[in-house]
Amino acid sequence: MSEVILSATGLSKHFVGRQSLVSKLRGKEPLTIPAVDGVDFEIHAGETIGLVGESGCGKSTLGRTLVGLYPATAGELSLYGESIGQERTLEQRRSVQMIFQDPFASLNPRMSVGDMLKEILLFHKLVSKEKVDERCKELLSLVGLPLSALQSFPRQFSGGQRQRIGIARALALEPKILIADEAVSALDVSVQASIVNLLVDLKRDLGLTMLFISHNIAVIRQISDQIVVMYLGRIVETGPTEQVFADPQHPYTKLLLSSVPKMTPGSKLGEAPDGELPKMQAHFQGCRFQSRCPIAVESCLTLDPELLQIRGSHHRVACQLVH
Amino acid sequence: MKNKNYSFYLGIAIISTLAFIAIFAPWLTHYDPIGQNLMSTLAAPSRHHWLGTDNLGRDVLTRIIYGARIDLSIGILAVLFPFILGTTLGLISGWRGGWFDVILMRIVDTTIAFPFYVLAIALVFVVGAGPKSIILAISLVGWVAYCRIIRAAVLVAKELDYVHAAKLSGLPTSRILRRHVLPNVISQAIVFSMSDIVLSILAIVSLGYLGLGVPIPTAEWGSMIQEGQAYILQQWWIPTIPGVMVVIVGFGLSLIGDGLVKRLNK
Amino acid sequence: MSTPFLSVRNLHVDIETNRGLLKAIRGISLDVNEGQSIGIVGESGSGKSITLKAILGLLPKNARITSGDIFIEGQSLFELSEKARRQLLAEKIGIVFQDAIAALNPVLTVGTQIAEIPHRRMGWSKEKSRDRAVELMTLVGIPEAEKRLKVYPHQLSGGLRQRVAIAIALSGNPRLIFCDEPTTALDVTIQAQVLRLLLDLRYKENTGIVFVTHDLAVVNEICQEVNVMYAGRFVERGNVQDTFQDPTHPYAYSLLKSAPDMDHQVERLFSISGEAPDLTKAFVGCPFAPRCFAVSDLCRSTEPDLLPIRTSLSACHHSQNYLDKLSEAKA
Repeated sequence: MSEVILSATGLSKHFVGRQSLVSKLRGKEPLTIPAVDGVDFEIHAGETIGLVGESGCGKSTLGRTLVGLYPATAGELSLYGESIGQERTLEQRRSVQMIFQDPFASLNPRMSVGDMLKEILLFHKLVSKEKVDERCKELLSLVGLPLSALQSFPRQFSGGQRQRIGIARALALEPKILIADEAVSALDVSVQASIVNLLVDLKRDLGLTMLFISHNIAVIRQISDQIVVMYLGRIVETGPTEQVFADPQHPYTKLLLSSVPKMTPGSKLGEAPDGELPKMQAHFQGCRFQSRCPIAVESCLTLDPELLQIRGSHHRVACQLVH
Repeated sequence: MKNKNYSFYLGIAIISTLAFIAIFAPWLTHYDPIGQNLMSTLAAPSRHHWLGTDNLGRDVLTRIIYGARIDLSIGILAVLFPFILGTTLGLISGWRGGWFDVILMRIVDTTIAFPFYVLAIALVFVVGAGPKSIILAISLVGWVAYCRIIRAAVLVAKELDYVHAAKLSGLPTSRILRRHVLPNVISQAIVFSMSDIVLSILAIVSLGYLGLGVPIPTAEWGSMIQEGQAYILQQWWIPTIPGVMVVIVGFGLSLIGDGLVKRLNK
Repeated sequence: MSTPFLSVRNLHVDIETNRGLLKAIRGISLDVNEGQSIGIVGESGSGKSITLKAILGLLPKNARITSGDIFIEGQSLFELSEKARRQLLAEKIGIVFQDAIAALNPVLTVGTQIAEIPHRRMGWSKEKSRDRAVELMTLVGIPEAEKRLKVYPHQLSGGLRQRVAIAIALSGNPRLIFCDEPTTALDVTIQAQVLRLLLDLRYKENTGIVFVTHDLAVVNEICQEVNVMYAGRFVERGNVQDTFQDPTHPYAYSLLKSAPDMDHQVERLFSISGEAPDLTKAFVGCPFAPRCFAVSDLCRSTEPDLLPIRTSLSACHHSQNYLDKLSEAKA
């Protein structure tokens, strides 16, 4: 196993709602949403980890906490063994970068592509003033954009092209880890394919380490070698993609995988038990999935399962009935 | 459908013409705006006096032209200071939030509640009538609108992904505000300033009409209306045309404002 | 062969935009039989949503049907007055949109909205309409329907809201339901529930479905027939098994190969170069020609018609052997 770049222990990010003065005086607790609630995991060099889950699972929040947009509420986050928080040194900032979901909101409409790249290249002194134009051209060709893009403004580009610009921006800082937060979800199928191919190519050519966050399980299957499944703020299963897909252990993972519509002819939608996502609460009793779980037992109501390995492999599951 | 922006260019044409007239006033008319000629008072429009003369024999057209200088320049200055002050405060307040924001917003609420003309009159008594007190009065009250507009726009902008990206790239806050936030929020303030200039000119003219603005005998549209109102039945143009000028300026500026909205929202 | 329930003949729709006249639909024909489920698949700009709106009379003000005809049970819609047309559509057809939050009235309770058609259009009494609402809510799988009658849309989760939208669509006893990306905004597990509901409705009530989406996998699960749309026209039509295994049009092929599949990881996803054509500008030949790996001179000069090949229909001059060109290109 290659070295650990980023590791999280007991990481939590809670959002606290605003509270009126009256309710504060009455001693009431403000509404807390534990978007990420005690997460342990590691990213090793060269890996591509796919982070999946449905709405409210916390994957986006986790990504943003890792990248430093949010301060963690609790737990430890370390980069190359050194603890980091939201306040980071310039070098730490450069190490973890993000590609965003919305191609129309991720670029400053009033800055040309060239200016945008130059600003960060020069600020971090990554190249000299003489060499900066050349570097910009290199970045553009890395992501498959023409040189003319340098003088153009975001509104002149299509969604797919804007995502490429966003990738160029992230790569300009030469990060150790690239976090893609639903980076292809807003794109058409054929455009999505070209961006996925681009990311796979970059991963191979530049030796990138990636955390790919998506609700699209088919894309995750295509791109990632490790998969992490989240539900209501916790990791419920993690392991090598092929293994988890071939032999999912957690009841939620099974539900998730069987719910995805498939392209193979004659496919039939799996049996999906009815049930909605339970409301987010500040504290959960027992396992979070028990309300929808087909195999839940009494003790699931009180026991909060830990993420444990199966048979000593890298496949880990948080369900007491599996172990 | 390019004709949508003809109104914008029309607005620019109107205002530039007025500005030109105001700037080159001495070359456009040889009369002295405050020079009296009691031999020829209340004269009807003629070849010598295109708009006739007023009750003190002064050439009305000349006074209109020199009035443009006063009203336009004070109008613009009176908006410039609130623009700069309000934008800066709104920017900081929207970005940082916290106690600064809370306190500032309470000050904003209080200022809005304050009646403008009461303040203006008080200032005139303290500082004396004239452009200085007008600009001061308008500035003290006018910054509030810009502050709110910019603050609201900043609250939205700071949640946009490109601002997040700027933060992630380690750029210092001042640079982010200056290059990423400000250029994207300022358009709203600029559009507002167009109607604000109109409001300021109206305020100046009103104060002039009340005798609290630029003191007579300086040619100013508001005081011209006040002085000329006694003659409205016979020499109706004396009080009316200054009012028409205000309407034209307002019209031109609002055309520009609308045109800007369309251009900036493309 | 009985008359199809819905028949669209050579429909053309133009949209006025500030960039010029957009020829959004350039000749579409479609037949839907009773109880049949049809998918219309395309990417953005293909015209799939406009097709739906044109048939349902929901086109925006700047869009017009310039030619073609639409028949419901043999009755041409254009021969009817506006009022009669709406009446006919309301009686026979239900609609489910993508965004239930936008489709539901935020100030009316869920029960009121579901009971609206029976009460107002079918003239049922309040009690009868209310009972029907409860019946429908149970049918679509909303638990504790009686209690939920007085609930407002914003109080429900996305999945439940979509079920309410489906209940409203069913309230007039339609023979055909049109769905425009109804599950795109939903979580995968909720989507599966809603899709299964639609399948059940087809089996139990023999309701037809026309499903417009960009998601090929969903079409595979739900539909019997698929129509692939590109640049305002259908370029391929066939039953889902055949089309997915053996597409007869290079665009359909490219689209299928560019979608990642749950079941396998491929070496590389197929990606289509270039962009969809600008339909405000006139063009000659096949609209897919600039991006097609099997293009020839014929393609650039003549737009192909939708013609039968094997068990499907394909609008391609090379539907027989376009795949050969692909292996040539790779070699």
